[in-house]
Formats: sequence, structure tokens, C-alpha cells
Amino acid sequence: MCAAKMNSVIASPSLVHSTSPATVSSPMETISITKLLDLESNLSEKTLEEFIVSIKSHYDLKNIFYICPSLPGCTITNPYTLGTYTEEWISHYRDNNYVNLDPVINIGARSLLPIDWAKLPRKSPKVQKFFGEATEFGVGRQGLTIPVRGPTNGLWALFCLTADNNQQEWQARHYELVRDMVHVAHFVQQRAFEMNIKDDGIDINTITRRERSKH
Amino acid sequence: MLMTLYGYERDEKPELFTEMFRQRRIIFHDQKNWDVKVNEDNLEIDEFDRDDSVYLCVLGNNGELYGSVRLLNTLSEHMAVSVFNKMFPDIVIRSPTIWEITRFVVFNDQVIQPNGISRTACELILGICQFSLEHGVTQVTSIYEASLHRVWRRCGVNKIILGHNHSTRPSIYFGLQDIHPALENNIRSMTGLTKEMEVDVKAA
Repeated sequence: MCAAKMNSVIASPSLVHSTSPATVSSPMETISITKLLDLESNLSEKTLEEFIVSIKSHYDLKNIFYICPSLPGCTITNPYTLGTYTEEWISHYRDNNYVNLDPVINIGARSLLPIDWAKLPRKSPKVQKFFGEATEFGVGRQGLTIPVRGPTNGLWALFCLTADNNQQEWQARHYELVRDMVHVAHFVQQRAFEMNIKDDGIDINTITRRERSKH
Repeated sequence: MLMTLYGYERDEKPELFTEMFRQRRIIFHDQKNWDVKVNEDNLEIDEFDRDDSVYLCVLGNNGELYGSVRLLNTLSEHMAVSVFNKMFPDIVIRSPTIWEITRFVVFNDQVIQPNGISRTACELILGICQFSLEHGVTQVTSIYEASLHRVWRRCGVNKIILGHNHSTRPSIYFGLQDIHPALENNIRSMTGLTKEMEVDVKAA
């Protein structure tokens, strides 16, 4: 898959102008193509984060969080992240090493299917505690994780979003939301790739800014 | 009963996977004489049976397998752009919300629905629709023998035919199906499958 194809995907009418009655109305009715093009020509962590925030408000979501463990210098315990989770939750997650417990990570690493958190196995008391704490930290009542692969071999990421809908509201908007968010997830992945990987090959020995600042 | 099976579960559910690959070998290799790979255990497994492949299975009351179908995301390696590329060189479909249906198998099912189609085939077609609605899928593609087109239609699925290939006997079609919430009701009324039957969506 190439950038041009990804771009054409993101400009599909379903994302740019959602007319579905099931989509929760918001002050901003459209996400214009101009805005997407602006983002592509003026791409930075700041503008990409602004895009994520605008998607969040457009779709009336509680949080959006993008996690990429496979960019140069990143690992599953030290991933590239972007989004609206609070610092408190991020540190709590990291301090408790929840990456090893979070069922989304384990499934998302092997599958391409969007995962509704309500359908995840929660029998283990540890996992129940984890979801209980997520609720206490205000992560959101409903959650969805979209695994993303590409555009190069071995590159993968998880795009998570949450909402405070009750079960009925969530079900009513589920199909449209998943469909649109799969496209948004791939769009964000493509932009993260462009920002972090230069075309002149990948030097696996390069250290990241974050790593450099530690020395 | 419909069940979603994930490629990464192959080690956890070896019996079900083995039976599915055995049935595929009987249908595609032994009966249809397709050019498919058969491994040393006499199973039909190819490079598209990966961790991220998804299967829908129809199971009987005692867990016996009646049929299955494989779903591949079109952003990943799939059959239309590789194995079938020579047959349909001008059709390339890649989108994170479009999935490809392959290896549609109905194995030894005696129950026929009012539309004249086996219950297993009807359940698989309903299952494809439910899977799609559950996961934000906008279209599904499939490459199939002409005879299967009638099956789709009788189950309320009117595929757009993007291409024909008549160099083979039987002819091969490249079909595209739009997914929308009304499709499920359409399939249910055409197949006589009542609302009680639901896809058993297991997350792991």
C-alpha cells in the first residue's frame, strides 16, 4: 500500500461528511478535505494531535489514543504515543506494567479486527481490576481498539478510542463509528509513519529523541 | 451455530482447525481439482492462513464442523492480488474496511432451507454479514465459481459483478457486496433463519 492509496481512503465520503442519523451530532458537522490536506502539508506532532482532538469532538468521544510500539527506537513498553489520555492514567498504566495484562495488546498484536472492549475476556480478577481502574481514571465507559498494520512490513500500532455512551447509544452508533474510525486509524498511522521514518532507509541503531534526552 | 475463529487461535483449537483444513482439502483438492497446496498431513493450508485471518464456522450440536469460510483484510496479502491476479489483472481493491471472502466450504449438510440452499451455506452468508456489521466492514469481495452466484442471490445477497473470467470451466466471477444494516434482515427473510441465531463473537 502506498501513501496515495491511503490518502484516497481517508477522503472517502463516509469520513469527510457523516450524514448518518446514528452519529451523535456535534458543533462541527464536517471534517473538510482542506483540513486533511493542510495536515499533510504541515505535519507535526502538534498538528496531528490537533487532528486527533478534532476527531474526538466531532464524534463525541471521551478519548483517542494512538500507540505505536514499532517505530524506530520504540518498544512495547516504550511506545510512540499520541492522544488524549491523561498523564495520570498513562503513568499509572506504565507503573503497573499493564502492557503485560491489557488484553487489547495481546489480541491487537495478532489480529486486524477492531476490538470492542466489552467483548474482551474479563474473567481474570487482575483484568477486572485493570478495567475498574480504567473507569476510575475516567478513560471512558465504552472502548474500541483498532489494530493497524503497515505501510511497511513489521510496522503495527493500536488506535484506541473511548466514549461515555450507555450500551444502547453505543450499539446504535457502533457500525458507523467502527467504520469511520478504521479509516481514521489508518490515516493517523500513515502520518506517524511519514513523521518518524525517512525514505532513505531505516537505521536500526538510531536512537530516538527520548532516548537521547536520558543521557 | 456460527462461531468466529481467529487465525491466531490455531494452537489453542487444533482439532477444529485440522477438521476445517481437512474439509477444504476434500472439497478443493479432491473434488474440484483446484490447484491448491496439500501438506504432509493431507490438509489444505496456504500462505493466507495467517494469525490475522478470520474464519466463520458452522458447528452442529456436538461441535461437528458443517462448513467454514475465510476472511482476509484487503490491505493485507490476499488472493485477488496474488493468486487470482492473472485472472483479474485490472481489479485491485485495497481498503481497511473491505474484506475478501475465500474458501467457502459446505460439508455434508442435509438440511435445506426454504430458499433451496443448505442451512450451512445460509448461516455462513448471514455470518459474513453479521461479522461485517460488527467490525465496520463496508464491502466484501469474493472470487467464486459461477454456480455460487445463484446461492448468494437466493440468500438475498445481490453482488455487483466486477469481472468475469470464462477461460476456466466453470466460469469465475469477481463479486463485490455492499454491507449495510438492512442487508441482515434481507438475508434473514430470504433464508428463513430466525433472529435467535447469533454469531458467537468470542474475543479470544
